Amino acid sequence: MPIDNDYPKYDYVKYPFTIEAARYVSGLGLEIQDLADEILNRAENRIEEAIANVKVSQGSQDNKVEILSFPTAIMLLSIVGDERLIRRYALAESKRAYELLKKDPPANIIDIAKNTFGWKIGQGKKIEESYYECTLHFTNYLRNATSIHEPEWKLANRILSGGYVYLTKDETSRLLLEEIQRKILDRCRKTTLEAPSALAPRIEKIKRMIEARKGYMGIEVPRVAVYAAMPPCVRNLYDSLFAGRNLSHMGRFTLTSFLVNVGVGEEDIVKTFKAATDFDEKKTRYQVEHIAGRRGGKRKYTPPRCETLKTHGVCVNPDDLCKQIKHPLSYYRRKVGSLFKRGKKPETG
Amino acid sequence: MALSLREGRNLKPVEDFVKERFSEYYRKDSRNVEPPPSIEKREFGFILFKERMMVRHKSFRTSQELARFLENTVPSDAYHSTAYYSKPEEAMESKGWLGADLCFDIDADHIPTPCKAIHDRWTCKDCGATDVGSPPDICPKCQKERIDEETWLCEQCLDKAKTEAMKLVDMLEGDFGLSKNDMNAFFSGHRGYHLHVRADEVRQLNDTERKEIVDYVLGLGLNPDLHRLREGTSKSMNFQVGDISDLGWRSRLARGLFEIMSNSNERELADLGLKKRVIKDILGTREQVSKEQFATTIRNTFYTIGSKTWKKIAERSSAKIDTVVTTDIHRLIRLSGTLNGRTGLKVVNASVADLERFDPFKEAVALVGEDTVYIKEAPQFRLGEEVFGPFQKEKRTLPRAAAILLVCKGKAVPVIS
Repeated sequence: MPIDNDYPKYDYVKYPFTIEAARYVSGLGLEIQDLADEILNRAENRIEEAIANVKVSQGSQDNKVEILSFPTAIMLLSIVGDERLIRRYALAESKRAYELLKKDPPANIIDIAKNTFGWKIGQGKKIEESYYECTLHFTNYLRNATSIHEPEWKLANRILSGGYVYLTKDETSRLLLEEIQRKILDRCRKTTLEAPSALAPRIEKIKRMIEARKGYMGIEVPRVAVYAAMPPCVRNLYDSLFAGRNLSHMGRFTLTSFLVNVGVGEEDIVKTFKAATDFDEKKTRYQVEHIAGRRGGKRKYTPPRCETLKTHGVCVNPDDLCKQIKHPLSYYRRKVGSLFKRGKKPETG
Repeated sequence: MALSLREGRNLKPVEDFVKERFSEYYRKDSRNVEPPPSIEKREFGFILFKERMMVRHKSFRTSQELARFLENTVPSDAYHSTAYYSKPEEAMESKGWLGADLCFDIDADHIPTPCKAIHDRWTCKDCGATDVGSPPDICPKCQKERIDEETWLCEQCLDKAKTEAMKLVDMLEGDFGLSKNDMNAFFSGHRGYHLHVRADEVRQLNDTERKEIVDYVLGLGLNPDLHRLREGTSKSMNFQVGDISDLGWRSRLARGLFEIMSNSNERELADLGLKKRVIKDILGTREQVSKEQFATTIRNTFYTIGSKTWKKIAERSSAKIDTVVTTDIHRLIRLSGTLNGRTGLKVVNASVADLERFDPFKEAVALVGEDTVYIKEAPQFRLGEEVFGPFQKEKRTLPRAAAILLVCKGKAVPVIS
């Protein structure tokens, strides 16, 4: 495929993860030592913004710099090898792509899905009053939709016909987000050779960035909640959150209300969520304040009872103590009690 | 355990008797054994008569090798993996999973049928409480969980299972776009059917993705609101009887509703949770108006139907599969053409295209000859064209398949001359 080196397509700037963009980059035949400072700066900048806000904004005006900074950032990340940072970066880049894809015509979305990810995807049609711009083979749908836990993403709640799921442009972009995220994760996790010495200062700088933002990136458990005293269901939610998985509405509510009730401050909860996932800060803050009783009905919510958690599939690996209690908070109180029986009481909670 | 012969009795002569018949079958008819495609990538497992335990992690390069093994070992039951492995004989963690067929299990045990009260019975191993019908999870008398079941294969139960299998095939073909050419249906030789989908496109599905397919087939987590069946606006009015055929669950629910409304009496409609006024409307117009007009009446009721009613309709329209077989990507499943140790009947390929006409009581008969048995008690049953029983404390010489069925089900003991 002929590539015009001097005038790369603007689309490559928007979608640097595509196969066409990768071909353009390899067509340039650059070596690591050829990378201009401009490119390295922009790569660093991509990573920095991902750490701070889980975001990647439009950067350089130079298309070539912009495109090359993406694989460069991935190379830097794979050298640093920090799993949390990699997850955060993959999320930031895929969110950016999602926002851009939503605004593109369906034909572009279909092209990217087909060429870069090998999806079996086609043009949709109007059914009843709704437009479904795309139809996607159920296997591609399942691979990406099973990590989203909202009821509207359950296959049973979709129009599925002849092997294809009917989707709007927005929904297709949302599924692409998952696929893009996975692709970036895979690329970042590939071990690279020893870092060239010229890059050493850059690597050091990124490591320092991680160090400075440690609290932000959810490396520490909120101080006041005693992790070891959490019931298995809450521990599972907590771990899932930090493994970068999406929580169901019920799961999110359970975790938040649990933390609120064991005395974790609202600010810390917002940070916890923000650190691990793609939650919109404003929305998260609103939800936390609502559950804490500072908004709406001024009622402080408690987590659901064990029975309700069972129905919603939040209850996992119940242990012996679980058999004696009916509410996750009773579990916590008892466990804290037994953990600190002989020692000092924890400061809070 | 393979045989339903009770533990704690002297089983040796009974076991030898059955094994001898199985041995004859594998000596003469091992060509009936139909190994799955890519035999060299499959794990095989067998239950042995004597040890009564599963021998796993076996592998064979050719069907001849497999046939020879069956002939020499004579297992009571034989299985193969639904998965493909690069090293099928290794321990689970080093097998190298390459993919798996998409398999479904439809078991009469999981489908409620009225005849179970006639031919099934359970007994609590702890307190001895006993009753007819499907077994409870815990004994209602002593609250313990050790329950012994006695089941029977009956035409009505297996017919119901077949209907569910046909519903499943319909869903896989219509909704999932899978070809009947890639589907194989097998009668398990006991109480159900297995459906294997052997297509490239499903091989790489992981367990979570397979669970989602299970939920779809069962209609679990289905929300009628999300199918716009409760809006009561012009949108739902757009449904036409003719063009609801290809929209997956949305049309299945609408069709289910039409069916119920067209055929149910007043009480059945009330049982669905419909309001009196709606029932009156339906019964009032049903006989008098044309089909199209009646369809409009029903469409007008969409918004009055609550989620409980939709759930019931979904349940009637779903295919009742057993969930574990489909989601387990390392599962062993019965090998076609081998004998089922619970019955002496053979696992047999039931053509998907002609499933409706498949007669398990004829096709699964494998053993030839005659045997004399003492029958304690057995309900009436049919094998091939012949009807047997009911029996009560009698000695009989029966065609071998019938005699072995009774022995395997613990209803009779061999009379060894």
